[in-house]
Amino acid sequence: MTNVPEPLLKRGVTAMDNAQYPDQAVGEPFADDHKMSLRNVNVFYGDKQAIFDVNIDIARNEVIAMIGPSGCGKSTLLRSINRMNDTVEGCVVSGELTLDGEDIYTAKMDPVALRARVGMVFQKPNPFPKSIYDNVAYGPRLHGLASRRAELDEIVETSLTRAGLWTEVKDRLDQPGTSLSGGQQQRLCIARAIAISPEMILMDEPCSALDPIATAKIEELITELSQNYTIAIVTHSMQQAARVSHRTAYFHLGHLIEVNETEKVFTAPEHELTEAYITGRFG
Amino acid sequence: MQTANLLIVLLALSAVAYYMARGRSVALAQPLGGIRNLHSLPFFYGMRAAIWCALPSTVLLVLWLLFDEHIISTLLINSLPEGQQPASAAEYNLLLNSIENIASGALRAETAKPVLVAAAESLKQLQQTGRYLVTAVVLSLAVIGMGWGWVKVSPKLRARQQVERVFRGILLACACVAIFTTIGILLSVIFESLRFFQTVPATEFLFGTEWSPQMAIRSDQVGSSGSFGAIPLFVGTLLISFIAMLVAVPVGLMSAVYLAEYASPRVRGLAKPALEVLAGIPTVVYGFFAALTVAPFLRQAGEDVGLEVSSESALAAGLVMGVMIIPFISSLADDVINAVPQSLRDGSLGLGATRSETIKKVIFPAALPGIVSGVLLAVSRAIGETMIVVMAAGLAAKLTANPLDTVTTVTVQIVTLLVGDQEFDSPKTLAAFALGLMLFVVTLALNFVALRVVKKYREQYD
Ligand SMILES: Nc1ncnc2c1ncn2[C@@H]1O[C@H](COP(=O)(O)OP(=O)(O)O)[C@@H](O)[C@H]1O
Ligand SMILES: [Mg+2]
Repeated sequence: MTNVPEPLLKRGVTAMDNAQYPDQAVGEPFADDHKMSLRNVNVFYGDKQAIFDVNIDIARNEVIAMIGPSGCGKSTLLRSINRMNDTVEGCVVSGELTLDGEDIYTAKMDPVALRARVGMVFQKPNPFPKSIYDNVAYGPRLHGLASRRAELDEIVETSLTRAGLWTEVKDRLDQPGTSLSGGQQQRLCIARAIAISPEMILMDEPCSALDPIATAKIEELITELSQNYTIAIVTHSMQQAARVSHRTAYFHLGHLIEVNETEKVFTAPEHELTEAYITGRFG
Repeated sequence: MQTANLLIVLLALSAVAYYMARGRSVALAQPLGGIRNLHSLPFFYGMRAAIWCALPSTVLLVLWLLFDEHIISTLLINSLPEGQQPASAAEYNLLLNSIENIASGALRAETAKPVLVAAAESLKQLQQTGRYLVTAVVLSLAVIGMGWGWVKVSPKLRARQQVERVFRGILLACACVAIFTTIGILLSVIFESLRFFQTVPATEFLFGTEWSPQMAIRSDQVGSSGSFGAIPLFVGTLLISFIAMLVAVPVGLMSAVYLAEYASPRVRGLAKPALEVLAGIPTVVYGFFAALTVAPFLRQAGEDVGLEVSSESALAAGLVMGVMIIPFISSLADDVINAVPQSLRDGSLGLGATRSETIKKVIFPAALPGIVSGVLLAVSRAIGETMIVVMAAGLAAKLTANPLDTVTTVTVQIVTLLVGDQEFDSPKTLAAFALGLMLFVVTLALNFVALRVVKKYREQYD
């Protein structure tokens, strides 16, 4: 599922070229109580446009899954939400993106402060080559969240507990984070992200490098975290989207095609492209 | 035949062998239904024949070239009449020399002893015969090899394996050249150093604080007793290297950080080649820059503020050496910084760290082992650097830590010990070997540690 064979994708694309992209995503892309709202968002890499005119809301405390074939711009959109794309040479984002009603692409908004509010977990676990403790304490130290060592200890403990890792690592906090297994490393990265109490967490295929058991643990964790955080998760696994998310957004070649309740998307998709994708006709 | 001609003929023969065997393998494959029925591609059959043709004959030729003089002279001396046999090795060489000189016409035959003239004749004869003989043997070996290569071609022959084995052997031999050369140099340095330590005790050399290697040539000379305490040299070397690192490490590292993390591709494209040019400047140019520009400038500046700066100062040499090492450190550091995975940068930025915080807290610690080993390599270069210090640091072996004073280094002393016409077994010249051994040991240790660190660091991200 993760690696789409090239010819299959091509065939899918040509077959689907006859299908019209909807002007606007079908289904229910908007939410009344939204945490994040995107309007007319276009993203370019140099001359190449990767995202076309996307409008979508992310509701407070929901888990929204983003699915779609490789290269359809899921990561690009996700990285626009916390301005990680600023670090990519030649990447331009246009449109209106607001977090709690505040435009995040104005000069007033400091991308560094924004990233502290919108945390990110990456595809490949990327613990720093430091101790487990220092990995989790990294963000709090950076932002001065603790003034005393005891406070920092507490932040580290709660974050690791929330990430479901505390019992496994509490006796070896001084060992390097890289010495953990892949799944533990990814949970460490999640603990690291929640240690600075972000308002929203973005996850870009967080389980694609993990085995099924580690994946199950992370999914359980996502469900728990959704009580306190707004989460956007990109995934290649439709089962995973079905298990963890409330709503699902389907992307196709940079266009947002359909957004609906997850159950509806997987049982009765409104758009033919969505249906083609979830029934495995391409991607 | 001349050796060069012989080699050309061998080359031509092996080309013929290649094409014949290759052609034969293709021809043999035809009735079987194409070359896919051969064990190996036709190329390998051809190569196999070429190797059989060229390798044994070349080996024989090389052996002959190595030993021909010895064989011929032994034959020659043994052929001399009873009374003329040389008694000692020295006499042997003398005799041989005069015979050779007569043969080449350098010594007039009329004035020489008739026995020797006869010997010269037979020397020419022997050389002539030797050449014919070796040409004949080498060529027939080549032809036999060629025939053997051709005859053995068959679809079942495992030609590829054989050819590859030979090539592996050749690669191994080339690798051995480097290793044995190192060992050879090391052994000769150690051997000469041991001779030095027989006249000058090692403790005096290692811990003595006075260096004045002038030896009395005649026993009644005064004032030139020769003392070989190397401490002033080590201190001078360390002082200059320290000044150089003081310049090179901060500048090199910061330029590397700028290039790797901040510079736009355009700036990077301009700055990297510029640094490489800096690295390509011959050290002798740095040397006269230090001696003719920097040293007088420092002296002048020192005078202006009332400091006494010697015209050949450790500071001048160290500063210029530091500049020389900057590109070395910055390009090594740039490499290790670039090797830090992008995902770590993303992880840190994604937690709301600024660029400089990311560099300070994630990239630098991650790259530190690589940077440390780069610095160690740079130190070993600074210690071994010769030209700049020869031109700018001076010769006086003063034991001082004052960078404005003149000092001398190990390398400078090696150079001065060996220029001039001393006998090669006087303690003065042998001292150069002992100094060389010290340098060798120190730089080897530094390089060893540095490479170990780099290796460990590599494993971390692979
Ligand atoms: N740094 C970049 N520079 C140029 N093009 C990029 C870059 N990153 C992604 N793209 C292009 O943008 C499109 C969307 O990529 P991405 O967002 O990574 O897709 P997804 O995550 O859905 O697989 C792809 O066509 C990809 O080639
Ligand atoms: Mg992606």
